[in-house]
Amino acid sequence: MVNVSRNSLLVLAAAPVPAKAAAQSAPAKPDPKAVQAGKIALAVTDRFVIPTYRALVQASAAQEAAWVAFAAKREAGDFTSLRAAYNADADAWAKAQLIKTGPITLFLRYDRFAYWPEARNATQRALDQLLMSKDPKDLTADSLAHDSVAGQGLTALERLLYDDDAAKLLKAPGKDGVWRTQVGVAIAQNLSAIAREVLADWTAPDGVRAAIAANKGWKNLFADAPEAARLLLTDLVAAFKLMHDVKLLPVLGANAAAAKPKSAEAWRSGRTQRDLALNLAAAQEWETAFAATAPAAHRAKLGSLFAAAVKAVDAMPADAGAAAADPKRRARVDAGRAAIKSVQTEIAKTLPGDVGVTLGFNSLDGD
Amino acid sequence: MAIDWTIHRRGLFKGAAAALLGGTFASKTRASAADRPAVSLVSAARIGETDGGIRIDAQGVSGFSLPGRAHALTALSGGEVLLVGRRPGEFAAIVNLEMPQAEPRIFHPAAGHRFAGHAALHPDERMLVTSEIDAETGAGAVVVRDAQDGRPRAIFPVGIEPHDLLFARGGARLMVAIGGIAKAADVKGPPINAGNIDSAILELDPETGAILKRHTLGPSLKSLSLRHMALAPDGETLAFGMQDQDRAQLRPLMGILRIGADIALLPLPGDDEGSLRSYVGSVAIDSSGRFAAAASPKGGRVDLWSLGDERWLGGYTAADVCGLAADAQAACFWATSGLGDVMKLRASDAGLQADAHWRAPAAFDNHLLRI
Repeated sequence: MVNVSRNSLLVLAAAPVPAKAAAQSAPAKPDPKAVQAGKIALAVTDRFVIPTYRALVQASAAQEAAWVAFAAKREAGDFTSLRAAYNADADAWAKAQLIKTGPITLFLRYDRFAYWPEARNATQRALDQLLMSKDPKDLTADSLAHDSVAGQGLTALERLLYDDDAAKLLKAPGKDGVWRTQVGVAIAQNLSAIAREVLADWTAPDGVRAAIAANKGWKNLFADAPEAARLLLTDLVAAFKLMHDVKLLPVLGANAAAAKPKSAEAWRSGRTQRDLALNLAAAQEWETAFAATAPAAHRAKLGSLFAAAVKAVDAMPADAGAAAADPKRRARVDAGRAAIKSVQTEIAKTLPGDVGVTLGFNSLDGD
Repeated sequence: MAIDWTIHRRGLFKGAAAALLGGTFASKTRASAADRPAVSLVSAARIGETDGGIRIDAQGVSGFSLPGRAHALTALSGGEVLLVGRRPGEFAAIVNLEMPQAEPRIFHPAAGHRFAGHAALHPDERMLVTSEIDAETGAGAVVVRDAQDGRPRAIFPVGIEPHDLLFARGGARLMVAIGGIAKAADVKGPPINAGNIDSAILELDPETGAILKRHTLGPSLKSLSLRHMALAPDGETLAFGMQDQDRAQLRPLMGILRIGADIALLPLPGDDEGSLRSYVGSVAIDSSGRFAAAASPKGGRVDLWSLGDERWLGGYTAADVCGLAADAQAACFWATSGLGDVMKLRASDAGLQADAHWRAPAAFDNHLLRI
């Protein structure tokens, strides 16, 4: 049966709303809920967003330095320092990855920093192009800014560091090794520059933080602090979609045979589970800043759901993608997924009301 | 397997409907005919946790469940409506509004394809077309289908990521918006070419798929994706809406296309040029052909332009608004939101104002169809 009966449908019926009341809000005096939402946006900015980008700037700068040092004595260079720097930067990105509001959306910075999930082989194709070009002009900041987003971020760097013979190829004598290393240096510099620009746009005197504090708009991204709060909460809700719908569901598939291990994030560097755990930790920090004014019962419930999810994600195998295809280990991946879903459901249920913002449906992920 | 899943969804739907039934029962006794909109509208919607559709008419509001989230709607003959699965869609459902108890007839994308969410019916009703994307390669196609059962008859390759489509000039032209955002259809990932989008509106010969004209934007507008279109009553004039993948600067989001002629871009809202938040979700032209409207759920507003002199006339604020349809009456639009709002908007040279406003306990999805 497709339908509820006509009678019961009447019950679903729309109630008439006085024409002005619902949609056209007259901004006469500040709505206390909007004021509260604005304060929360500032708290999230100060406690989560800015510290997260500061860490990303540091890790990206350290990575850039590691590549420059490696390039200076390439054939005898310390390859392990590159992997360590990459992992530190990927750790920092796993937290920043959840923030999609603000200057990271400008100039395609988000996709340029880490292009994922990737369309079929796009990163390999873009990277191969760079590796074959041998033209230094292709490695300038300006060129990369307009080039394919797939060839210039963490996902490309991961291939340089974890594909077969990675160390040997970087250290190879002659032009090929030199050029390959220069590509790595350019990508690391590009990441460092993007992180610095984003942090500066948040913290500058005319930056995002100042706009939120003054309840003003910033560029054309938001009009006032309450809208910034709505965007930040939308990001938090979307963070769970990223973890659950994007990172886990397509990898898990319907069963072990249908699992797609190579759709897992950062499977080459074995970071799939680690990235998820860091995502979840970041989401909890973010939620804590958001929920400061929420009723104690709501905070407690979210706290216990988060704790359960952290435990379940910690128990996932590090190679969560490969584990999804392994009948013996798959259940541990799915348990993490289910625990993340529980947090997602509870956040969507209580947090918007507690924060004083209304989350959209169409504005979440338009098409 | 698909059938089991469908039944499962329906089971869920009964639960959701039951919950709604309890929650709003009190309003039933007070509702009179005057409280209901004198129009018949259909939209994809989420009702509780269930993906389905909603019909609004003088009888009230009715819901039906679907195998997944749908996007746009196409009126078919005999009181039937086609809802196409949202990108990357795996189903299209033909729902008979006269027999709401009947099973919807489901058809699927061509082999290896996903639906992009839109379809169009030829004016003589013999040909149905859907926009589809190859799940492996991301290559786009228009699939010509039998209007009765949806069976594929021909496939026209059209480029990267076709989205909205419609028949113009009495059916002599098939207009296809090529979004140009390249990604494998299966992957809901970021676009790989966001700064260099090859977006266009194509004029096709619907019989052969031959591209008669390719309407494109200038080189400074390579971050814009042309996605949604509406046809004026003259059958020759289209309004189209875009989304900008790069928000570092403001670019136009609406335009007019006259078949055979070039594109004209419309100005951004005069009261706040950034208010559409670089995103238009749907467009409509009123039944007189004088006014074009665009809804931006990210901006939370509907804006109005004059098609004659290409001026912006005004905006109307409504959170999460996206669904938009022209009323039979001139200078009148219907708009729906993801928060359950149903609004009747009156257009004039002074902009838009609400004539009436209802709210239903459901999230209306992107597009709205008036029957």
